[in-house]
Amino acid sequence: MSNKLGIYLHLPFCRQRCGYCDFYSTCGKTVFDMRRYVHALERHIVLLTDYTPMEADTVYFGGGTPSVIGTVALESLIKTVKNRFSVTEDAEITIEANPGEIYRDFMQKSVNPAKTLGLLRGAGFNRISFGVQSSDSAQLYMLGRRHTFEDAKNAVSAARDAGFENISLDLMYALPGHTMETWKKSISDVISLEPEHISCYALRLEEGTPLYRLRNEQPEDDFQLLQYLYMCEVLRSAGYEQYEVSNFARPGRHSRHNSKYWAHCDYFGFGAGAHSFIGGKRFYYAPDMESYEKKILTDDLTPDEIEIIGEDELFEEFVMLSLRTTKGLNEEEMIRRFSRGLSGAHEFIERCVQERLVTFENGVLKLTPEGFFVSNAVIVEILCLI
Amino acid sequence: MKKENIRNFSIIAHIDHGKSTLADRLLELCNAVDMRTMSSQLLDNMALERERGITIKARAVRLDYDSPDGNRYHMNLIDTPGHVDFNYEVSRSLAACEGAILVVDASQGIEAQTLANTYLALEHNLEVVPVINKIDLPAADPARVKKEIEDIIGVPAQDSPEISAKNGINVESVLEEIVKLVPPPKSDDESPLRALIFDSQYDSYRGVIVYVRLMEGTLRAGDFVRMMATGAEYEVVEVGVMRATTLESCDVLTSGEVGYFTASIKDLGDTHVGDTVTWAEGGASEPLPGYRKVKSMVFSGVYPADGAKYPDLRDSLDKLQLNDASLTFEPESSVALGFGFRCGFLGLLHMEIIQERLEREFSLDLITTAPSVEYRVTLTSGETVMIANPLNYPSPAVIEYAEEPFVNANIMSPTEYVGNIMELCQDRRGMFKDMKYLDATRIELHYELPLNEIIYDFFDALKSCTRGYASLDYEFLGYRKSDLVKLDILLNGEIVDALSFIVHTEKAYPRARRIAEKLKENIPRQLFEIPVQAAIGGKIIARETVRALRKDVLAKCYGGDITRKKKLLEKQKEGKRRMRSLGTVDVPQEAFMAVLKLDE
Repeated sequence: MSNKLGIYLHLPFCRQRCGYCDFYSTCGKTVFDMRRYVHALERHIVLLTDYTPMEADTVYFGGGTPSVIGTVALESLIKTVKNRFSVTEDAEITIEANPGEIYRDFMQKSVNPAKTLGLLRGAGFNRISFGVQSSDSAQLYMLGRRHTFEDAKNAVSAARDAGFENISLDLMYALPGHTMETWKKSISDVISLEPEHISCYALRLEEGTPLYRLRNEQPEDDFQLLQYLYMCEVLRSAGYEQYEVSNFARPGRHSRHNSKYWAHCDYFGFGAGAHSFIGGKRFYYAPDMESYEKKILTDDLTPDEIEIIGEDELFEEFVMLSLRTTKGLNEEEMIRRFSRGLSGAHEFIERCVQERLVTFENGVLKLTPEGFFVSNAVIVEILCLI
Repeated sequence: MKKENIRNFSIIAHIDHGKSTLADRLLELCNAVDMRTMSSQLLDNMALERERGITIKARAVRLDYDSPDGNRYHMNLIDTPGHVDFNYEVSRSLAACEGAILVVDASQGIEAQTLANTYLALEHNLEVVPVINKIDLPAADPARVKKEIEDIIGVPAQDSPEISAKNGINVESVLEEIVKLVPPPKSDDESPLRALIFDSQYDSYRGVIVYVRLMEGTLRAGDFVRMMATGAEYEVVEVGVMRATTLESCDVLTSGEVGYFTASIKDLGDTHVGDTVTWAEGGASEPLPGYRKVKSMVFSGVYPADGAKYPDLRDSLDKLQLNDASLTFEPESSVALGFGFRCGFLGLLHMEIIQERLEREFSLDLITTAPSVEYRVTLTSGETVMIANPLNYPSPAVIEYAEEPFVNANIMSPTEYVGNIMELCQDRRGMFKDMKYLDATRIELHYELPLNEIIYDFFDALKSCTRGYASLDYEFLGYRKSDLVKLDILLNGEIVDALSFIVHTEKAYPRARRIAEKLKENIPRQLFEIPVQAAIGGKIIARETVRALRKDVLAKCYGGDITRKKKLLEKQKEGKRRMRSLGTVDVPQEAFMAVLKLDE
């Protein structure tokens, strides 16, 4: 894993909230609001990098819906990043996009998606992640997505035309009223678009979101497990390797940026609600655009929360994060880095092996797909035992 | 104060017949409290009492009553609990009185509990003063109720006051009746001191506050006194009388009076309720009769949820026992629950009250085991052992025979529910003795029942099958041979000792099934499937399965927000710590509680 930085920029703007979303984003901001925020982001980058030129090999524009701010602003932001960091030649530069919104520019004028995507590609983005979620129109409507699967199809082909060779698509399962048939169809439809990368998340209905009222109509855990196992199997046979609980990729196409999160690599997050992990410290800025802008514009870079990760915590994180990936937890590495092994948990691990929740070979503990689906319980148990 | 002007009395009544309300009115009439501090059920100052609308503890207060006859009377009112579990408290209070007001609801008439308490009062040679309450209710029928009192109890009631304590109607006449009917206490100030301890309470500044009724002699600050049962000696610091909301010190307490004293008593064990206080020098040689030693009927293991709180639990039980002498306890331990106490209670309500008081007044988080009665087991060796903890139940191989406690139960109810009551009693292994019509609409049933069947939820079941109209009273009858078995509960193939209990063979199967179901509902799904089994000896008689956990994952780890995920895991770890780890199974406290309430 590289020692170079990952850079994350949070763009909390959406045309409209999806019914299930509880991430920090805002709707109905004016062009001026967005400009002010982008200005703050750039200033933040400039202030931070004044005396410390750092090497970065991944850049990730997340949101919200980053594409909402328009290609000009995106171009400007990426330029700033490239000016202030030494972004490597082969860096992975990702942007998240809504497949329904590349048909309009930030002024809501109709545009040719090929043109929009071409501009993004030209600005330096080489990876694009579309939130497809489902191929079923009724489900997309229920989720509050304003696009069809047809839009997604066109978006992917436009991205290909624009020169994107690394496309990721998001899918969701555990939807209210989800049947195995619609799920199977969504997966095969997504595979037919031949993306390099697929992320599959279980819908989580959090209190306070509009869709929370449908929480009792989500399928039962047993059914969700079947959906998950089916997906793991089908994606594997279609040539996608599972490399994390919810992520699958063609060989060599895993998300290098997200992998940094799971491998304890350093990353900088810019923007309201963005998280950073640098030199054993986690810190973040509150999910509030106004307060973030005010801070940055008064040259105050103090994060709203700083968490210094002690040795014990680092160890716990290491266990937890390692077990999220298919690389697994290497006992030898544990002992080398933390002088702690798995000896206290052997009996438990053996039982888990019997129940096919984990494999434990050559000192490497890996969760199976069944195991991933109960990973919290396994991790907690192991942390309590060792 | 002349002795002729002292009246010591208590109030006996069935639950909800208005005893505490009447006490409130009497307090008001005697200006014992100013209106600003007046709150209803003033004597029930334990939060628990107000919430439940019942009286748990006996309480005493002195009222000054200016009678129309021109005299001022000292009226010592000793409040008593009404529930069947608290007979003992009633008996304590009665021993300190010369009279008792019998409050009867004008619409409901005499209930089983009223009867039991009235008999207690008559046993103590108390003058019983009937009062017909709630005459303003539409269904009130004072004439019928008076006749009932005369017929059933044999106390004249034709001229008894008809009142409404709630609306303050005719309440003065109650005070006049007391003055007229209740005799003043016999007094003898010249003999050596003999004072009956009828209650006590711990105060962190003054030490133990001892509530006494002086039978003979006098007591003042500076006196050296001896507790006759324990032999402990103290110098009295303060004497006084109880007012409605405060203690009021005075120079001297004389024979016939009710009051308190303090003596910097720190050792809780030195003041036994029922003991006699006398002077250290030149004191009495014979103690007062005291109380019949109270017998614990229901036993349960009480454990701190957090094992480190064991010393706190011991301390709290010590303090509670001072205030409630009917509570008994001794240390025990369990593989599942660690160190705790086997506590003895008067009944199920008493058990609930003690648990709640421990949790509220002493901020303890508790796990309690299923209530049990005390069994008498005769071994093949001829030895007889008493078993209050199912854990200690001997192996069937060495048991010659086992006996369980039976009670005489007296149930009063409107006639239309007789069928339901009989069905219930039958179901609880009751033996029908006789049935008596009190009048055309009310009936008294007499059953012999195993106590074991009563302690679970008999009272609730009785109430629900009679729409709340039946009342119950019972007294210990004796031990009878019975076909008993020990039922063990196994989780993941291992016996959980804290869940074992003794049950009649006939009841073993349904009880086992119900418990297995309850546990299944209350144990959260875990990584591995958990068999829940109930067994007698080695034989499994019921089985349920807690299926393995299928989903416990945070699918999305978004934007590098590791902190959030970590917090979730932290919370989960915390939750795991709060559960009892039995082998590979984590059992939440609620599961232990749930098996106590099988019929919900």
